[in-house]
Amino acid sequence: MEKKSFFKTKEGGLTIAFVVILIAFVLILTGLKMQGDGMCAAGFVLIAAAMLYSPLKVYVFDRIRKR
Amino acid sequence: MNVPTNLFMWIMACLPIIVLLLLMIKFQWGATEAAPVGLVITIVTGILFYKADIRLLASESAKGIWSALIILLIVWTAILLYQVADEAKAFLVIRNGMRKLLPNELLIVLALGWILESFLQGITGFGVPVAVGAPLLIGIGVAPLYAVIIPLLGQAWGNTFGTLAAAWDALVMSTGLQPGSPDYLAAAFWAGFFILLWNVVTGLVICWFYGKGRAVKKGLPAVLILAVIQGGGELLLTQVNTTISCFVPSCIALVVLFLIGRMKMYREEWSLSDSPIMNRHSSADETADEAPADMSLLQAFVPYILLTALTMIVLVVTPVNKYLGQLSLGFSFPETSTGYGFVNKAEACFSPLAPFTHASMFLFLASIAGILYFKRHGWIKAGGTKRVFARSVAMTMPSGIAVIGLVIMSKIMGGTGQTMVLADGIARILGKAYVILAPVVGMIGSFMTGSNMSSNILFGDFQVTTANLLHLDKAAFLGAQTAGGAIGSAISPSKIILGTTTAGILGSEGQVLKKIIPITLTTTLIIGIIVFVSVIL
Repeated sequence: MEKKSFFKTKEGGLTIAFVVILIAFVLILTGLKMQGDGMCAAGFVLIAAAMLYSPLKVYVFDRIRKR
Repeated sequence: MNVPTNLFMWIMACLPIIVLLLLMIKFQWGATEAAPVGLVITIVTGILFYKADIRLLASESAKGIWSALIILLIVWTAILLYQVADEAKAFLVIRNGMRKLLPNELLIVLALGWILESFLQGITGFGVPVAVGAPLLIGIGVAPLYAVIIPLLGQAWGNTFGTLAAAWDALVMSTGLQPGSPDYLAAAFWAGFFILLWNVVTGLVICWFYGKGRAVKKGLPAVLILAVIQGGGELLLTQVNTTISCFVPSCIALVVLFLIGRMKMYREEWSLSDSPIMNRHSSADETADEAPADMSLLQAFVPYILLTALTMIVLVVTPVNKYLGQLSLGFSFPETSTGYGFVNKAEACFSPLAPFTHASMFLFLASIAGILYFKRHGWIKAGGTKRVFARSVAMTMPSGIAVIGLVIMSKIMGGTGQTMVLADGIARILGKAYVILAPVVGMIGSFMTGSNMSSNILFGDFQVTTANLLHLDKAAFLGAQTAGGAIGSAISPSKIILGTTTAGILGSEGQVLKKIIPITLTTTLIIGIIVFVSVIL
């Protein structure tokens, strides 16, 4: 059986999402320190996007693919 | 602050929690999928109705990530410890050994699902008892769903005075109670009394799960003895020294359990072949041969013994604790406020992490020592260490996203004033009848934040304010708050995820909640009725 690459599995996707959240964390901390709302906004959007990966994959993309 | 407390705002504050519960319980979504949806709703209500700006949202999110990372350190290291024992097949030895030592199967379930959790909660807490207990129960043949439910219930009583009374101290600090004052002792007494009740309920519920009335009848003497030692001992010690009031009784209960196993009614082999929680198809006989023949029960427990010894030395020996606790890491956050003037004060060092006195350090060191020990005896073969680390990371990631989502959600709810509106609304609408719901507020706090300590910080002052407004005894309110918080730790999604992760049933959080909520809610309401009777009548 063909072995699936780790980053193509759900666990792999969540690992990438986790890394994105860590990057967003650093962005927000820097933004708060420098009083830069742009950086805070960018970090916040990144968090939202990374968090939504799992529900979107399970309940939207995978269902569309199955059809 | 001028946040309007009206029905609409209250419903908006409730919405994320209602959606979260609906998705997990009704639609059986896993927490990894449900938590982000709850978070998005919190953000939308925060911006549209609570006038939060991007700076506040980003700041609370960052606080949430930091708090979640601290929790995840425990998740990863607890899973690492589990993987070490699993790789060495120590769980098979533990299961076989416990069966010999305690011939009564119900006692083994009580030992690994309640007494061991109490002991671990007494020293470590932070979900470690659930993460460690679930695989041990699976090892003795308990079905994975119940292997998560039982430790969740079993650890709950120790949440207020366990972890060396961290949650209690938080309550004392946030409400300004003076240690040793009459109010302090009365609140500690009420908390101890309510937790004693919950302790009895826990033991009986575990028996009920095992085999309904037959198991309750068989287990009743053991449950009463153990509950009196744990809950009764704690109640007494709260009047002397709250720091050790959970740890000492839980240690005594651990010893007494084996003495109970020698009592006439428990020393014979006993089990219920039709127990609904036992998985009879994949148990001892099939896997008995896989257990290392030369590993003794004591050797199988080596990583856990080391964990206990390390934790005790660092947490109980004050000079060691002070020395190792000198290093702490944390981040500063600026003051933020909503358009309604709800202020989040600036933090010079938010939720500092002292790595050398943190539970994850004990778990990590115990894991490394376990690997070295098992390797030396040949129980972990070549390539085993790599497998242990790889599996621990793969198991942690899915729960990581859920924990981060839930913690950010609770931080944004707190930071935008939604949590305060939620509690304030309940108190205003219900008047004196609120007393019955006082412990439920504590429970909701633990559900939302994942910790009895955070619930006490979040709602402790609110309970005092409400008691004063209603001209009622604040000690009973505070006892009910923290007891409700302790019970609520059994339904905290982040703790449930710890269990479902180590039990290998991630995504079944809704099923776990469905079983636990009726038990916790009923007991919490009974506590509320007791408070009502004592302060009103």
